[in-house]
Amino acid sequence: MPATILRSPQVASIGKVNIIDVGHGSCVAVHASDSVSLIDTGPNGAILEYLLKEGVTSLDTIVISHADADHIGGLAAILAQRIPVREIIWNPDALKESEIWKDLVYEIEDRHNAGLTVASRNATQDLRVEVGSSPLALVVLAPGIALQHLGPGATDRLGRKVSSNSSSVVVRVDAGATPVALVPGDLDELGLLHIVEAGRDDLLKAYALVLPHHGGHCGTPAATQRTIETLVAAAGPAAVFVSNGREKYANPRPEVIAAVRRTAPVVKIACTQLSPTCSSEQLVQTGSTGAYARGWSDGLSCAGTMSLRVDSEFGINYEHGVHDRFVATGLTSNLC
Amino acid sequence: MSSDSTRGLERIMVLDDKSQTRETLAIPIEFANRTAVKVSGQLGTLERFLENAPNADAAIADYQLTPGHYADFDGDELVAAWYKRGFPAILCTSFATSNAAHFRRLRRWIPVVMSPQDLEPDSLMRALELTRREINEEFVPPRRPWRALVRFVEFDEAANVANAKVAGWGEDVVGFSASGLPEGLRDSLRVAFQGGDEYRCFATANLGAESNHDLYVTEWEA
Repeated sequence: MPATILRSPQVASIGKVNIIDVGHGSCVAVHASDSVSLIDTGPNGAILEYLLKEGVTSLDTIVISHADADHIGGLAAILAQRIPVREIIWNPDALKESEIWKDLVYEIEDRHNAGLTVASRNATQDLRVEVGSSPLALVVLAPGIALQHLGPGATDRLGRKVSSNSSSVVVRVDAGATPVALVPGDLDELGLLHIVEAGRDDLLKAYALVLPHHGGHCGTPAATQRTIETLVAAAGPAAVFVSNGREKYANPRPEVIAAVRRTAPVVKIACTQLSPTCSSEQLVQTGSTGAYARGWSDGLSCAGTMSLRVDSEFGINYEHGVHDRFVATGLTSNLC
Repeated sequence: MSSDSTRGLERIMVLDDKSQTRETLAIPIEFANRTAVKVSGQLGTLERFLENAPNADAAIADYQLTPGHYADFDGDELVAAWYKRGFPAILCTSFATSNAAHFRRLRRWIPVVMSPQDLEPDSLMRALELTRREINEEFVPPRRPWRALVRFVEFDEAANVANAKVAGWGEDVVGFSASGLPEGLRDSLRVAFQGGDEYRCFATANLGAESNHDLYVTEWEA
């Protein structure tokens, strides 16, 4: 694979970015020495097991990309535990007609009554949030002004229909000036076009890209192909990750992976869970990758929870030996 | 030979109202190189049986124990009571999946419900070991208790139905027996639903439960 940025083993680590195996859903944890932030929270209480195993007892920032249950379900679980959360960054308007919104309001009120306030603000373009006192930061690249204010069902100024996915919050994790990971939520073609048409696609460059839609379709098959090829070309990643659930939707789609490969033939591809396309059987792996992975003990995981470690010189190390050995010895029809 | 993890689970009680079924349930125990203690006779009340139960390290109980006056209690009550006393036991029944609302009231204290078809030496011993660990507060993720927001979406006392959604678990509706809910909670639900409102409260639930029938909800903060 393209170079993992090599550096002296004496260089200290400043943090890590974990793409967590939460099943079908998305949750990325950004760890600094004094702070942990999340990008999305997965579908349910799996994030609680992760936090428990990591010894995390408070959260700095939670960014919610959009209102789909597989991205926001874990937020209800987190809030119910009264885990201190400094701030939620989201665009909640799409939520406000839903019962989920009322659940979250109830929980925020409960926390307030217990003396635990949580701030919130909109995810506006170019918002930059430091992760603790570290050089790590979350940078909001989208949605832009238009998509932030247009609701699902509206049309943009070119008459294109806006969906809730068009307005997905796109976050890039930076270490200083080094872009570590691009996390685009469930961004669809229109959302990506707004970024490209604004001349902001150069901002999408990152060492790692988490595919939108858990490696599934982002619209029609043709729109999916265009979206994936454009996104991978813009990001130019060394690694492409899929946050998928084996027991739902048979993601990643082979045609999505094919689109990745056409654009970046040698990129390292890894999925949190084992696609039925890659193996008809669940395969329990011995040992552990270290971090909590929902599917590991039941043989649902492939790479499980994937970790990008960042050092003080902003070098990035992605250890993928366990995954490579599993794929080489356990799979005969792997998409990656 | 006993494996290290199941050491100490040597004598396993078997409870079923039918003697032939007790013999059948004893087979996987004996294949696991353990001693099956088949409990016959009339067990009486739960309190009486708990005081006078045979010497054993664990147990497997059928759900329906009251036929033929074998016992004055059912297996779910017994297994839950044993859990609270630190004694590992599993419930053997195929009713739990289709009657989740009924079993849910006690599932916090019934770590494993196994159908007779799934009862094999290895699965039996793993289940008892899991139960023993949980009694010592070593929870596997699908069983770990968490604080949870419960939103009741339907309440019909006449039909003994109370349906809810558990935020942070999943989107499926979770059924309860209305009569199995605490009285104070039932009062609050009655008022809310008579006014056309839904009702929310916190409780304790295993948010990692992998299926609807394995989800327990207890310790209502209502």
